[in-house]
Amino acid sequence: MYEYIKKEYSGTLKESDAYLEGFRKSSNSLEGVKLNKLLWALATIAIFFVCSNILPLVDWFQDFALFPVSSGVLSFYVITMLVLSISTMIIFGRETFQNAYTNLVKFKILNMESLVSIGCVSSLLMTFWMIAIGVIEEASVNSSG
Amino acid sequence: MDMSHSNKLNMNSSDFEHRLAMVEELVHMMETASLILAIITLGKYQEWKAKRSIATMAEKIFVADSLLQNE
Repeated sequence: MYEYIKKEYSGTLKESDAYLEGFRKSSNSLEGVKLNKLLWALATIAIFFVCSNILPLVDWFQDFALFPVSSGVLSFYVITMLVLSISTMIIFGRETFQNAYTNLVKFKILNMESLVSIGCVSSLLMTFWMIAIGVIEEASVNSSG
Repeated sequence: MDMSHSNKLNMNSSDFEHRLAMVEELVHMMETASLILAIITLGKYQEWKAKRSIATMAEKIFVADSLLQNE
């Protein structure tokens, strides 16, 4: 006790204050997109650009795009692209969709992530709708003749 | 449209064109959904870099040890 009072008056007492320590920033607390994910995003952009803008211009690819003919619009090409786009949405969009949902449900606010989510989900729903139309069209053509 | 493609797949030319247009439309729709997210990821990376540099600058200006010392 004597030592404590002595240190207190001499100004050498160093006591950790739990309240003040609460304001200390933890190191490496900043979370964000790392370089690894950025490279995957660039690769995804390149794959989609090549698959949907360059390959359809190649002559031999037009046969492959509709193969097999019996399955209508659900060709190997469309199924591959569907798998690619759904996996992209899960890998890159999961965080965005979760944030948008939390912001909307918990805090009743809309922000940029809500816009992105609406755009992506509506585009994917439109894809499913068009696949359904294609399948129904194919079935009606097959049944009529 | 080249007739040879439609002949190879045993389809008439108008069917071939119609289905090819539908497939391309589908693929462009999927491309839209994916590219939005991929490009947003590039933006988020830039945001993270900017935040990191701001945090580093703030750490240099306001050193936590001297601000929180209890003397």
